[in-house]
Amino acid sequence: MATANQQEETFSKRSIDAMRYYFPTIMVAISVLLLWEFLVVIFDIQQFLLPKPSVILGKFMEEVDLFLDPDSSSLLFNATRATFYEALGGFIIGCGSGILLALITARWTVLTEAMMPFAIAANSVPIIAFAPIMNNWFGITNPFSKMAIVAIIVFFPTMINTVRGLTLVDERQLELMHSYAATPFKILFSLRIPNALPYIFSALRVASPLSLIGAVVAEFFGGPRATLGVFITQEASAFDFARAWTAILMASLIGISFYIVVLIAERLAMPWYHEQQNL
Amino acid sequence: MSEASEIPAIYAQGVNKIFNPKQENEVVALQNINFEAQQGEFISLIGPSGCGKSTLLRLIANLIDPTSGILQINGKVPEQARLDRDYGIVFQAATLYEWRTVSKNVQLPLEVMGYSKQKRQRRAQEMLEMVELGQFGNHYPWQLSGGMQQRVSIARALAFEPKLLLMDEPFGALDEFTRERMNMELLRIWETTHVTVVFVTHSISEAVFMSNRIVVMSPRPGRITEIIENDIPYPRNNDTRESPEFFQKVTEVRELLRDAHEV
Amino acid sequence: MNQQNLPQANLSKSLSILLLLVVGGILLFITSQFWNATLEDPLILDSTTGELAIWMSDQSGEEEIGSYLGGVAADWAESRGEETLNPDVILQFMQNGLLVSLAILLIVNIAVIVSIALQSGRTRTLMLVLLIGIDCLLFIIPIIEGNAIVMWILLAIMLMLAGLFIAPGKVTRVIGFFVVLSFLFVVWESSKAFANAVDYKILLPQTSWEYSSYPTIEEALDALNSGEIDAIALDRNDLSDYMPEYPDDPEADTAELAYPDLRYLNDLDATANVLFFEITPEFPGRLKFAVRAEDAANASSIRDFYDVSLATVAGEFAEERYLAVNRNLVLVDLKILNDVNLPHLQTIAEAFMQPARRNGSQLLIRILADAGWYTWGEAAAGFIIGAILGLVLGTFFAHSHLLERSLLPYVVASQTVPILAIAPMVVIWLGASQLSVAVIAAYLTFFPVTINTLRGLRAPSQSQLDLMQSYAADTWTILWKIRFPAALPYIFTALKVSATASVVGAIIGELPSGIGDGLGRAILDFSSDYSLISTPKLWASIIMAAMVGIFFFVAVSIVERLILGRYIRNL
Repeated sequence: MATANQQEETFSKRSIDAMRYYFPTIMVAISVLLLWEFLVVIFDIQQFLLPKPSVILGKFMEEVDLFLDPDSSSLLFNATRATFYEALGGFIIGCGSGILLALITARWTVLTEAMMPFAIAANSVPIIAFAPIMNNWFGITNPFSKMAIVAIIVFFPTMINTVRGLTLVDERQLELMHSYAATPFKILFSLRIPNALPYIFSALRVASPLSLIGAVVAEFFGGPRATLGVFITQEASAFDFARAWTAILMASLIGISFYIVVLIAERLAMPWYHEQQNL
Repeated sequence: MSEASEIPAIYAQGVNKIFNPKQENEVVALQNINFEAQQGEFISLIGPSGCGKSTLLRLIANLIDPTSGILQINGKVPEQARLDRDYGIVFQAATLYEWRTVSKNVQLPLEVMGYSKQKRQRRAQEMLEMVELGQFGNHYPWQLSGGMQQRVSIARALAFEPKLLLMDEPFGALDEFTRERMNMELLRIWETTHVTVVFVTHSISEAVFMSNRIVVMSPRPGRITEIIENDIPYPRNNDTRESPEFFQKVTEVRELLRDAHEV
Repeated sequence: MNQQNLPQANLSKSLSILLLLVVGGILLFITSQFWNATLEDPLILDSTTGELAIWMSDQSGEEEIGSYLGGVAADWAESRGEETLNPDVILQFMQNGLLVSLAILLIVNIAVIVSIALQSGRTRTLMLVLLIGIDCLLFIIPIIEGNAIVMWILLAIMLMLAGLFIAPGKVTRVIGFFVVLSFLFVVWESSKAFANAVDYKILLPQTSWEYSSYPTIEEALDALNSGEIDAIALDRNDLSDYMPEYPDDPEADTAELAYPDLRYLNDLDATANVLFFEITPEFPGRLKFAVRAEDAANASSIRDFYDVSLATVAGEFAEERYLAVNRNLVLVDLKILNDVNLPHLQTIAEAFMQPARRNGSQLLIRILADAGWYTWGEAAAGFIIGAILGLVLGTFFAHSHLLERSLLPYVVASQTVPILAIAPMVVIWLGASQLSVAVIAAYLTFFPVTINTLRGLRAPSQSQLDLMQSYAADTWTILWKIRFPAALPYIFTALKVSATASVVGAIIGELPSGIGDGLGRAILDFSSDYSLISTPKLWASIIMAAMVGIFFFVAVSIVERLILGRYIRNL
């Protein structure tokens, strides 16, 4: 009896604590949205410059209705699907090959030392500028032209991080493996790869929103109508900013969801890491 | 006296180790090391920083190669001894893999050496019980205290029953009380397993408490000042630390160290 | 130990010398080619320097000179007492210049051989110099039909790379960068050569369709009905007279037709894709297959008919022109490697050293450099604003938990709003100007700088802070003396990332309306036309964008090294 009451008490106490902790955050959110709504009205800002949040939400719900209706289709949702497909494809190809190349070259330090400076320099190049070239190669309407850009964007940071994770191993742990006369293969699997996992996931966490943005921005250079980037540019040039904002909203939602999926994968793959870091 | 047919655990003659030979930052880490260790002995290497005791341990472990001289472990070249998995090594930092449970950490060398899963798990549990951590198999290293982590690393080092146990200041990071308890633990393990122990330390009381032979070293260049026998009778316990023989031996070692330093 | 290394060292030494001798031989060969070339030789005329020379001589006669080199040519003409500079004069000068450069390369080559023999520490540096020199040749020497000179240069580069691997010594960052870059050049040109050799298509031979031909349509249709054959290939118009289409009309009323159980397939996928590459040959549009109704649902592409017993009608288009001929399946279409999609390196270099428009007065390199400077200005302005904002925010957050709790989630959330996606709108709000572009760059910069400043300022340990407290130091002193120095490495990491992001932001910002005279506009302009003329210029603009990005990154890295000096941790 007593314990049940105690549990109830701690639960409600904890919820109140949580609410008190997040109170400022929530207040700011509400005030910003309200402010936005009122400022637009008060200053009579042209709708085409900065639409009210309520209007944006309204247009968004219209699209949701279209999407849910079996007889019609929503351009916004089709565009989102297409862009997400490009982003996901590029993410898998880019991160996959980055990790693969890192695994292959980590064995021979000479190779990694040669490749790293180039990878770091290539990482500072605006890859997106190559979008017109990819459009030329694969065709503007081919999703692969955007996937290629995304893949290149996420390839270098992933490879760089994976190489670091595979090579920055505690000296003592390496000596221990040598004392067991372990083969380099065994060392790779038992020591280097688990050691590299935090680094790899850190790169994947960065790569997930990056791939979505990369796909959208690559579409700015030209693409099929039913893609988010083209949607945004066309709605913006037609001055229907509310619709353009719905696309931004979608892009953000998908981006956040993608990021959360990667976070969950990270938790599943490295249960020890998070408990240790108390995250 | 050892039997004529029994091969010494360690045999070093004229061993030298020079780092960066013929270059500006050349360091003579070890010069003309001569000593012998029989099977089942407990040897301590003691000396101030820079005397080469850790270097000597690494030479024995075949983690580095001698510049010249003869070094044999169980009658073989160090490399062969390593390939034959003749020794287990324990460092000052527990060096446990944070992504493995305690039990899996102890199983690591057994995995490398190809033991079957059943055998590995059984052996790991045995070793953990020997170091009195039998309940902690499923914990993660970060959940254990420093002393407990070191015990796990000792369990791991002995998991595959090596003939030699090499230890590089394993209890250096622990507080004094834990250290004294660990000394007792190690002695108990040594008496049970009859493994040959080479123990590097810079604590005189540790060396005197546990070993039957103490190698006193001095730096610049690293060399052996003297090897003294320590015949305080076994089994030793906490009372030993308060005995007059103990104090005598400690004083003997301390004076040797001081002389070496002043040279 | 030293004894062990000796035979190995000797072997690698002799191997290196051998490689370098071969490289020297190639260089001699190239030199002889240039020595013997006349001024009309395409080797001279079509080279980057040759084309430049022609342009310079044209410019010398112009009234208004818009470029430095044009002015040089005009002055030269004047000194010779001519109106226009005789092209042969500059061409000769260029040829001599090339010969001198080749001579220098030969000297360096000999120096490398000597240095290897002497086991000097300078070997790798000298080899790098030689490698870069040979790389430059790739950008100057034109691709000439039937002349394998470029192939020899590629071989020389590969030998140099091998030599660099064998040579002893540490691989520095600079060496690593140029090794990979040179390797990339070799892959570039050799894949083009390969594609050219196979005529831009990798073919799989496919025997012609095995078919039987019937004298009339009716006989063929009867054979199909009775099961003698599995499919007929015929003109669609003929088929539609006899049977309904599939899948458009699966429930068609077939009672009145002569062959109610037959369908012709109008919706066949006439191409096949493997890994985004097309496999052809495409079946001509007017030909369709007719099959029995029960088989109609199972056929979806041309590939379903490769081994089927096929028929057609004698004398028709299908028999005479299509089915009877041995075909090749195009497995991989290498048109990605043709001269429009992937110009030769020399073509791109030449595009740099030619005017942007025909008879223009300024070289493309000058125009792109100006555009690059313009774009970089926007990026740098945004970068500085964003960095200052980030530093200030980070500092406030580090000192006030309340501020951090309320605002930090928004700072984080702001990054989920893809500014790059809003770029079109930002540009319309703030007007199409450098300001809006700078705002985009600032937005991209302030987040990483805020987060890292916060992390860095919180980095000092409690004991370090306690020490300062014991000196009765005030908050400001603690900030300046302890927190800020601890934060610097973190801040610089963020700055390096932001440098790249700002350049990307600037280019994207310029896109929507092709703002001003930046690189975004240049890329847009040159990508609108898909031709042998425009695409090298597009490549040139992109390369300039890449160089701006790398330059900014290197600049921040250098500042980091200067400020952090010995404390910098290796990348």
